[in-house]
Amino acid sequence: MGHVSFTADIWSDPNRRPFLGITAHWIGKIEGTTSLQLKSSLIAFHRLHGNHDGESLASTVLQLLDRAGVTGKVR
Amino acid sequence: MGTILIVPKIGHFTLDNASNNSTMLQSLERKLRDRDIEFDAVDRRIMCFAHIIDLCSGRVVGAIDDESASNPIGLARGAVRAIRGPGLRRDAFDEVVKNGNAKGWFKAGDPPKTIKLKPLQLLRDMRVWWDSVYLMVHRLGVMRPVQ
Repeated sequence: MGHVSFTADIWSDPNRRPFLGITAHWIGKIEGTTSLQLKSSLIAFHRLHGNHDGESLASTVLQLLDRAGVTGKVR
Repeated sequence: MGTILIVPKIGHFTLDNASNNSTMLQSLERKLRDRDIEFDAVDRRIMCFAHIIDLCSGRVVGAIDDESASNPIGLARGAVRAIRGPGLRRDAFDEVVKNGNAKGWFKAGDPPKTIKLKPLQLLRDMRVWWDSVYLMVHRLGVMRPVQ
């Protein structure tokens, strides 16, 4: 509980412009109940500029996670 | 930046199995540690299961995929290439389907009943296109009454 996990992938549109999509996944409460539910939400659909190397992707991903407000102190 | 007090915590990442994603998570580990956020790049990576299945099934298909007449995938690919090849043959295939539907040529089932086929083309497989071997063989089966 309290952790948010992510799936991400990069695709190119027909004009070869690359886009990075990030989806967040977490376990949440169903409103008004004590039941839990797997939830997910798209947190970024981002036009990528420049290199697709790991270093620049990490900067982009961190920036997008910050914007979504999911970077928190772990334990 | 200071300590961030937002409750959610970074969990796990599933990405495709490209090598730049390994570098990405290692770099993310360093960036998060700079902020005193504990993150283990290897521990927090969940490899893409679909990708692994694709690699495994690709190996199986590759091992049986020779030129022999007993290889169903090779036979399917040959048939699809021959029919899909030039535009004229694709048009001819369309015509056969249209005609056959109108004249009740197509039969399926036991006892055979007249059926109508959707105006579909055969599909070619491509190594980098997941499931395309399956889709090729499946579509060939759907359009089989055209033979």
